[in-house]
Amino acid sequence: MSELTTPLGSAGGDARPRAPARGRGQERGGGTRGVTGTSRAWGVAFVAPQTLLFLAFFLVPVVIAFALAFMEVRPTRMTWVGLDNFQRVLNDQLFGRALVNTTVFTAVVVVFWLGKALLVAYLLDPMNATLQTFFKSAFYLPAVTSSVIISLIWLWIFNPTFGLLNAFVGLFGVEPVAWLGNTRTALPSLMAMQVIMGGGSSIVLLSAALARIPRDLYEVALIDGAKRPTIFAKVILPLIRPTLLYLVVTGTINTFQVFEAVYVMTQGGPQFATTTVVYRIYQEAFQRFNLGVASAQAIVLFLITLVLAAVQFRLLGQNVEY
Amino acid sequence: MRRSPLHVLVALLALSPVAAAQPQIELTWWINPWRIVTPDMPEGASPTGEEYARYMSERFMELHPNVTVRYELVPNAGFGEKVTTAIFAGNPPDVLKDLDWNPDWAREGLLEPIDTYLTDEDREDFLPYALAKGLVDGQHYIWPWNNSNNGMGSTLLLNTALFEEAGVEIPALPDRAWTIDEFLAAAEKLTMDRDGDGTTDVYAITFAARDVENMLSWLMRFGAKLMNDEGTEFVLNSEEGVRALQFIVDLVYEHGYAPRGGEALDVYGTIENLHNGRAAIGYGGIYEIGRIDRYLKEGRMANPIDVVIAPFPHDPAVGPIAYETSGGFLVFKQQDDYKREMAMEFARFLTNTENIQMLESLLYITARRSANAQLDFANVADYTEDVSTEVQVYQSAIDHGVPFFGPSDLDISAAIEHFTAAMEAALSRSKTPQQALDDFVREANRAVFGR
Repeated sequence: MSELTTPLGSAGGDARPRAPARGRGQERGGGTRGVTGTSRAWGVAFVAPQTLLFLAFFLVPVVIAFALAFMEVRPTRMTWVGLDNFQRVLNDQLFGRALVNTTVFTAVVVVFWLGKALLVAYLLDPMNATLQTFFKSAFYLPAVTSSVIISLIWLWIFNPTFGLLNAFVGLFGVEPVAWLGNTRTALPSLMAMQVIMGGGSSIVLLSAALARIPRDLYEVALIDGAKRPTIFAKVILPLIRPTLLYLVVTGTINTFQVFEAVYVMTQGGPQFATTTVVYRIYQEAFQRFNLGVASAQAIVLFLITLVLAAVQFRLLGQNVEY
Repeated sequence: MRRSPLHVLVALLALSPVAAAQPQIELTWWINPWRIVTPDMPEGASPTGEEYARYMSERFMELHPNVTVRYELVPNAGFGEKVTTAIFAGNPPDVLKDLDWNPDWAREGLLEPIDTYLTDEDREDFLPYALAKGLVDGQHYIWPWNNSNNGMGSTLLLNTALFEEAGVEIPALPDRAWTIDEFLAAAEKLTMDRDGDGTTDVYAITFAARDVENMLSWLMRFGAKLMNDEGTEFVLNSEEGVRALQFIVDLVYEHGYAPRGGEALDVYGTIENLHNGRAAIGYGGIYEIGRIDRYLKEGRMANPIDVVIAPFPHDPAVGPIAYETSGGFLVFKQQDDYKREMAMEFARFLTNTENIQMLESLLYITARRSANAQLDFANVADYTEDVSTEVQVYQSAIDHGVPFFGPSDLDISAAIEHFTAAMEAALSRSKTPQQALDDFVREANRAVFGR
């Protein structure tokens, strides 16, 4: 029995039991003791560029952001202000509004987007390889398109005067709607766009996870009299739980950072109905030059996503063996 | 004229003692794209926005061979972010077009004051309000360049064909001034259902909540002000302000002279409605006539439209009001005295009487009186055989210009998002005009003044 510890397994539908994985050193027969000084140097050489880039563009800025959160940052000076920035963040009604908007957006988008990906992957599973490849490619296409371009296209679709959506609903006698101008429809419109355009990579991962489930399990369940919905709920879902966990966690983290669509399509409006946390951080940092407050907001966002990820791990994070 | 190698050698020899006496320096200059036609462009060529920066850099380097000007064309979108990032990184350009002018930069000591470089002639020649725009704590920081903007908030564009179709007379010259009542009478006729199917085919005008300058201009029609005269408080929820906003909402919902959905539009939505003939009246000045020509050439507009300029309609009790604005160049703090001199020299070069006239090809009016006296705007492009009438109307409109956004040394950017929210609320009727403006004033005073 192999243990499915990562969703990034074989996508080729190989359901045969596998021998326990061996480390690279073991495969070469010498364990880590066999690594010579030269090969160690080569290893370091290969890892170093990525590590340096990671340090320069990720780790160091994150550490600096933590420090800036406790300072008033001006172009010519930095002053220690303790927790003042966090107090400002907590007293900022618009940041509170942004948190609510972002939470609603994330909850809806992740659920629907994952549901869509699961449904599509499930429907693709019985198809032959050629058809699967075609549909996976089709669903994956938006993932390789710039999110700004996608937002601009949807801006036209939602246009109240000449947009496609109003033209379509007009066929049923519905009056034109200012989809992005109405506080009731703006956030749902962005959510719908995100759900429709997203999920390409999730479909690929879920297809791989489904392909790894041994077919014997389906047959046994069918012989036992289980119906398809039961098989889906009792056999498939538990077995792809690690993949789902991965997608829920990364999807939540990514969706919580929604920015491009808001920046391009609504600028946080109407009446702050689509203001999200990252858009608020952007405004604070680059429109008001309050890098300290923006850093404090970023840390609040970091803590929220950390807690969410921990909760999701606790709820979904169980090892699966088959 | 071709130069022989001998000429070049003689010129180099002549300049060499000067060059040797002066250090080699490099100036960085950031500017957004200005589609100015330069003298070295082939006739009929359409500028992309880079020609002006290249041309001026080269001309300045010819005059000062020891100076290398490195220009960078920064797109309008993201201009402010790029400048902010550069400032915080301690690496701003030496000279900057003031697209996103922030008076706090001067207070932070990031800019060089220009007062000691301004001559008496400069002070006389620059339009007072253009010079005053860069006044912070008694010192000037902006070399004035363009007077007015693209006309947003100042003037309207009237589609002559639609006016004719509706049987509406264009307001009379010389200034095409019209009253609110005259505008209303025209708007009624300009709102047309051509095929009688119950759907409006042409609206008189468009309102866009995210179009700050034009919406604010409408709100000032009955005498409202954004801030009090001292610049210490937002007061747009005055009786006059509420009346103006109610007037706008009524034009949309009661009269149907403007399309619904303006809460989701920005200024480009208004431009689009004018260009595609869905609105008989659009916004902007003579620059916007150039936009129509450019869009036609680029295939972004299918059919040409003929437009003329008129001021916003006025309430006789208040009089005409237009948006008064200008722009120019900033010089960032310099450690080296000579580099400071040359950065100032470059900014002066860009804004001197001769070079500032290059704005003419954009149909912009300059910030220098002496230059404006020489502009005739004749044949600056193939779409403007004679725009002198439109220039005259535009100039007479901005003669009534007032600053819309309070004192120039006050950063009110934090209030703008609340203004947009108020316009969105009013245009979607989720709040009454009174509620929308009350909320705006409360939030703006809190955001800008902390109360």
